[in-house]
Amino acid sequence: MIRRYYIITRDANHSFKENYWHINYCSCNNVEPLTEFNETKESLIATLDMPCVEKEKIEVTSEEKFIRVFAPTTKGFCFKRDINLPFSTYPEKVHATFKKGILVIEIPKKIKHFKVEIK
Amino acid sequence: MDPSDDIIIIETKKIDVDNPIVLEGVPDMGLVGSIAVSHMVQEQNFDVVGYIKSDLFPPVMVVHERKVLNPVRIFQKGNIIAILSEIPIDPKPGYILSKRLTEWYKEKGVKLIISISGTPLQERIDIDEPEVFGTSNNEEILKKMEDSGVKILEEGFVSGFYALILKNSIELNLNSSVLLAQCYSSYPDPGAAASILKILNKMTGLDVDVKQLIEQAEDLKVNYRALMEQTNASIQRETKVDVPTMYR
Repeated sequence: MIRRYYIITRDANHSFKENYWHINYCSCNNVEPLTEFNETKESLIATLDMPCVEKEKIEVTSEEKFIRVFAPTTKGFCFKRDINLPFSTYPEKVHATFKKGILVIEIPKKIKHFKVEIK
Repeated sequence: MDPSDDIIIIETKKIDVDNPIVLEGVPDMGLVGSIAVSHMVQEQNFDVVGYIKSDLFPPVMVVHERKVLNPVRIFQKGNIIAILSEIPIDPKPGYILSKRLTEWYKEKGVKLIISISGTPLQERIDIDEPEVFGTSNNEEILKKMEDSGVKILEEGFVSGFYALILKNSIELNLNSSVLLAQCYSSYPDPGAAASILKILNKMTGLDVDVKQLIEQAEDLKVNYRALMEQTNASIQRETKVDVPTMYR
């Protein structure tokens, strides 16, 4: 499985992502995998059903507020899923496992706690 | 006009069998029922003996091996009748279909209805052989289910279409049971369907080979993806039942 992550502080209308996408992938029929989300206080766990996929060909890219999953299948189409995060994450700490055709991505939440000074 | 007139059961071949057993496979959690019944009718060469039509169903016809078919079909082999739906049944048609079907079962002298579904389990990914749970409105059948390896539900809930089948069966004095295999809630689950078929082999004397179902699980998951997506949407449309806290 290929994991790539980017920290983009200034997002110019996702132009970087789109350019990256067109350079790396041919035009292939993209299908969204069936996806479940399970949110906890610390993280979001995304579970994606991706049958007929080889683990080595799955590409998961993570950014501060965005996760993209791409995987070609042996059936002539590709699974692709973009997940826009409603919170910020640590892209390098996003963790993914693939078992029995199911990709589980654990996305930690970047939680900052401040002690508010009372004046 | 009786609402059940909105659902019409068409017998394309005469179904003349004494005390049949009915197996129902309607899209639900993990598509367990649909996958199990579909595999069974193919593997055991069941005959198509009818279909169910209704203006309440979505405008869908299915194509299998170049043949255009109704999405809700009736199959038969020996004393087994199978109902297979390849469209999700929304709540409104569900109410009427369950009523019409149970009335039809009564006319046919059905001795046992077995509804096949799944019970979602968070840890399903870690389980190789899903367990099968079940319930019935008849004590003798519960005993038979238990002897076949089914874990009997002591407390719990059956909701959706199969709950209506159970409810109507009680009213019409029909023997009805529900089998629930541990499954993924939102993904097609051929492994759970295989567990159900192994139980059915013991309960009904069928001899369905599940090897192909397990070997081709990945391909089946791709084939059933669209139906699973529609079913997930249908489940979300269902009126939410507030389950008492003790069952959560």
